Amino acid sequence: MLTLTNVHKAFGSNKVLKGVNLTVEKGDVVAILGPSGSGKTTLLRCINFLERADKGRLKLGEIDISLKHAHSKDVLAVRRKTAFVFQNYSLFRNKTVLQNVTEGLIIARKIPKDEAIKIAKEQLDRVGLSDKYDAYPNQLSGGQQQRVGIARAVAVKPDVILFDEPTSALDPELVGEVLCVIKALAKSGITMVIVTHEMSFARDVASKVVFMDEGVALASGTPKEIFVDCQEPRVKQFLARFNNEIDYNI
Amino acid sequence: MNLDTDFLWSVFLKALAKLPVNFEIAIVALVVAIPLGLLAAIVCNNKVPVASQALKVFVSFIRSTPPILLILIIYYVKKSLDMQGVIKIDPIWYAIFIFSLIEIALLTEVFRSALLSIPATQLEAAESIGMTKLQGYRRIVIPQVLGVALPVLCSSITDLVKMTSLAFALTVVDIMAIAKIEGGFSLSFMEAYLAVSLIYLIVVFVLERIFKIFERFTKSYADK
Repeated sequence: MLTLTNVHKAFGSNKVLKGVNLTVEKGDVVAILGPSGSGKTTLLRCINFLERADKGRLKLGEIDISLKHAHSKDVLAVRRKTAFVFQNYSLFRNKTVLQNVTEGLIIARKIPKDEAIKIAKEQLDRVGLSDKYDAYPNQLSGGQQQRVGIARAVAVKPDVILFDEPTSALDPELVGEVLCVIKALAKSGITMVIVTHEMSFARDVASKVVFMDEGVALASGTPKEIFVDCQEPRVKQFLARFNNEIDYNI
Repeated sequence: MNLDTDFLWSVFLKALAKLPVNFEIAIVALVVAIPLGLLAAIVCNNKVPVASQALKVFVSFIRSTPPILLILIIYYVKKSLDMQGVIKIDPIWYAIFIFSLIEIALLTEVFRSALLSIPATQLEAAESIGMTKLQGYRRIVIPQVLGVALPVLCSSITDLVKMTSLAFALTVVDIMAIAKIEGGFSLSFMEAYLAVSLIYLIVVFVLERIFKIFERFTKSYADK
């Protein structure tokens, strides 16, 4: 359903992506793992055209466009079929929780206001925020803000939701509540691509794991293929700590 | 020194009758300058080629020239136009024109710094759920920019109201002109100027009260 081919992206002389391929089928939960600076976030941002890739193609349903030369009309079409969950939540600070969710429905998708409010309330109830409709983002905890971020993304009924390290800014307790919500979404069959450092979450929830390092997708497969059977040294090294094989000597 | 309080009071009332002139200049200049200043700030911060450089030159020019100098320049433009008899425009329009230019330059800088304080992800979040850039600016970024800029905006509006007193140099009959005229007739400049300063004192006091109310209004979502 979503296919990326040969994506390249450089910031100045710093080559961040060096020919990444990625295939996501309908209903997949794809976890992208890898060390910091390996290009995971950049790849995700290129899908949503928050960054312009230097090279590469994107196929999403009927849309088949160049990542570099896409017209703004196609960019808008891709964005209306995808949604993005940000690491730092990025809720609209001048809008209430409810307005954060209805904004994309009313303004971008031209859904009538009462219907948009109904959808928004449904989604907010689903992430357990039925008592926070009228709160402003700065009145919420990080975990609550991220759940609003997820509700905002789900409400627009995207073909695929892109999560950019959704729990990296949260403390361990709040991580739990956000991961619960994502897990429930995964079970309901929503297609998702998740960049994350939550290894056990990737192992338990993902249907496919992609390991990225230095701008390439080094390995991909089922969680078992990556976590247990993978013979690629860099992957084994990265997962060593998670697999409790690390010693603390420098 | 004896203060002629009766004369002071009479100038106060006469000048007060001309206050709408100063308000008209200030309000029209603001109505022009707020949207254009916002637009200019967005253009500058997005580094739009040519336009952003041109705006930088314009802003530096206006900011580095004393307002009275700009007014005197415009005054001689007005005089030569009047003498050629081509067009005769009410001097208030020259005042509005020059104060709009000054205010655009000042507000461009005010909005530019406010824009820089809004994280880029606010616009990205809007775009990521399918809003156009224009919708993102209009509904998400600009309301926040206005909220952040409000305190500085208020003080620059106060400055503008005070600056309109320079319009008398363009032969606009405003409250300052009344003070000059009345003072000239009676040679009691002290009373005349005191009357005008009293008016400004009241106006600025009221403006500050109003702005305080606005600020409370935007505080509901401003970051703690």
